[in-house]
Amino acid sequence: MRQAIPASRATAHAVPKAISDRTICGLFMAPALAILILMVAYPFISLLYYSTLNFSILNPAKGSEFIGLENYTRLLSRESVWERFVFTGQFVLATVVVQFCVGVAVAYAFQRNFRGRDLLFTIAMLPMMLCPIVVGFLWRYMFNSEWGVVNYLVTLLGFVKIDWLGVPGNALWAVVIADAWMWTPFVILLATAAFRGIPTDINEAAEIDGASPFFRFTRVTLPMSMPILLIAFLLRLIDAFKQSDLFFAMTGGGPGSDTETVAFRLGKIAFSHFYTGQASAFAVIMLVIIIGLSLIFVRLLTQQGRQD
Amino acid sequence: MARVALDHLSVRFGTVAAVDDISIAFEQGEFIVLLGPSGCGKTTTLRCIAGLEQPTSGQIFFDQDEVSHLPPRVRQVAMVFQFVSLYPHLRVRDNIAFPLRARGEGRAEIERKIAWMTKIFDLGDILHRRPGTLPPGARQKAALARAVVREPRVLLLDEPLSAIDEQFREEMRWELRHLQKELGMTTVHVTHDQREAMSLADRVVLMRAGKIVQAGTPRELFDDPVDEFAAHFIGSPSVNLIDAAFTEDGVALGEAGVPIRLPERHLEALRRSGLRRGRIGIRPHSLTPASQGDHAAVPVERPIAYSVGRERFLDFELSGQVWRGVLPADAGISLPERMHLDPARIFYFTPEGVRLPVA
Repeated sequence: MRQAIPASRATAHAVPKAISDRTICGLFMAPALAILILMVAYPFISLLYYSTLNFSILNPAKGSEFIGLENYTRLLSRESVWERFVFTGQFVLATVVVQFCVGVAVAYAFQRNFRGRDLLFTIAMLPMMLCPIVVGFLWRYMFNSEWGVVNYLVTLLGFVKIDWLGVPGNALWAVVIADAWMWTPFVILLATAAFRGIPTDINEAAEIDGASPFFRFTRVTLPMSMPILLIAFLLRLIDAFKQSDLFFAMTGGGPGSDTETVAFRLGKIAFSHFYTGQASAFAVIMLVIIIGLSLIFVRLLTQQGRQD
Repeated sequence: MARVALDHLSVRFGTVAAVDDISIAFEQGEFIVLLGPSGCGKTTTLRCIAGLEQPTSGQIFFDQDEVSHLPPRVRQVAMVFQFVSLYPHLRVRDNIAFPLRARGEGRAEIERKIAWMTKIFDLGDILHRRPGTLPPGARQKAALARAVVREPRVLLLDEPLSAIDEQFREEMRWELRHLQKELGMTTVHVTHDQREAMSLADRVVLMRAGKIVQAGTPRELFDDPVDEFAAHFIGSPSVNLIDAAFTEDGVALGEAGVPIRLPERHLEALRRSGLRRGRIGIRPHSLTPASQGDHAAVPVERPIAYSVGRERFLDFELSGQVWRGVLPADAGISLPERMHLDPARIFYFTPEGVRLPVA
């Protein structure tokens, strides 16, 4: 027993030395890394892999044939695919511009103190918290050409009823309105955060310097909010690019396939036609576009950071 | 440049009167310092002149124009704040150009004025830098340039030097003073630092609890304070104060009743007041080693002598309080046993702290 005690002490000292700091670091990170590999790296690599195969998940027995980049070339040579990109581009541009014009203006109005401001602000945040598919159906009924509330208002103003969802040009704007309704609150939220981050002294200095409200907004408020607004812009851009739920609920992609966005088409290829290989290639193309957009904004943000 | 007049100005926040019915005029080209402890209403007064705060009652005039309720941007005032007020996203030159552009001045005019400011403030090195990369002193210099460049009717300074380190602050004071004289700007400067006030002001306005305690030249405030607060707030090292009984031939200081004989005209003034007790104050520089047989002297107990630069001070205990006097620079090691009060320099106060005039 007497000899056992020093022996156990010796091991107690030896154990921490046996494991280096690096190993401990690695051990702590291992669970997170494992999850990351399982949830991100593996799906991504298998996505790349499947994109080079002629393969359908409905018919695995038929096996898969390696066809190189043929999925990509076939997709990109199809005019209907390019039309989807053009349509998605129009949608993204319209909805993001509307969201930012309205969102920044409303956020600026919320800077002023008035009775019931906080309550109104909370209410204004609500649309963003709804489920997209629910928002889609709500607006689908509101835009119904026969008995929808929108056309009711249109007739009240003395115009003829508009076929909102049956004509591609109109449907684009109908979904833009629905999407902007849902996501403008997000822009309001971030713009408000940005505006509140500007020190009072700065605003007071601008006022004393003789700046009119418009001059102050364009020369002080906006430039100083730019980093946060850029991030909001990027998030909205990516989200709008991926939009498919609203189109699914409001137009079903129709008439024909005229209001299918890229993401909508991707869903169709993957889960209606079950061309798994082609869908994978399509997903890779979308990913490249989104990463490209993100890189542009990251570059812009770091430039902003360097200026300060 | 304008004459600024405040007429019965009051600002209330809820039930608190931050500024309580003050009336005073600042002459054209005068350097005014609003001085007082924090919460005395000096900054609120300044913000009222700027238009950042609305007076609850009373009026503000720039020359003949009433500006009491005009928004800041039409008042043609300029202001330098205590901390950040430069626009962080703009280079120094664009900061200086900002008020000019806001007013829609022409490009050539703006260039000319930037060049003028660059020369006055020696901004050549920092003109193309952003405020975030500058030390606080340079930042305030740029802020001052932005304020001066628009040739305001009134220049308002809200503790602009307090965030700057000591050495650069002295330099800035000197520059500020020169600039103000050269350009003849009506300037209102807020500070709680009495040394800054004394070194800058043509006229110091001492405030307390929303009211003006005393307004006058630094010399007047130092030599002739209206009450105990003013006497205590101004002067460094600060005035020695003690309770005193007013007797037949002088005063008796503290609980020990140390007798001090006073000249007849002082006694007369004290008799006229009808008071038996009060307080007296005397500045350290009027408290010097006593000679033999001096009747206006106090005993020195537990003395500590020390030098601050060329000045020698003597701290000692008198009736439970620490008093401070001065020693001649050439005095030997042996400390005086008694210190002499210069009777002409004694301030007499009522128990409430109001100064008793001595004819």
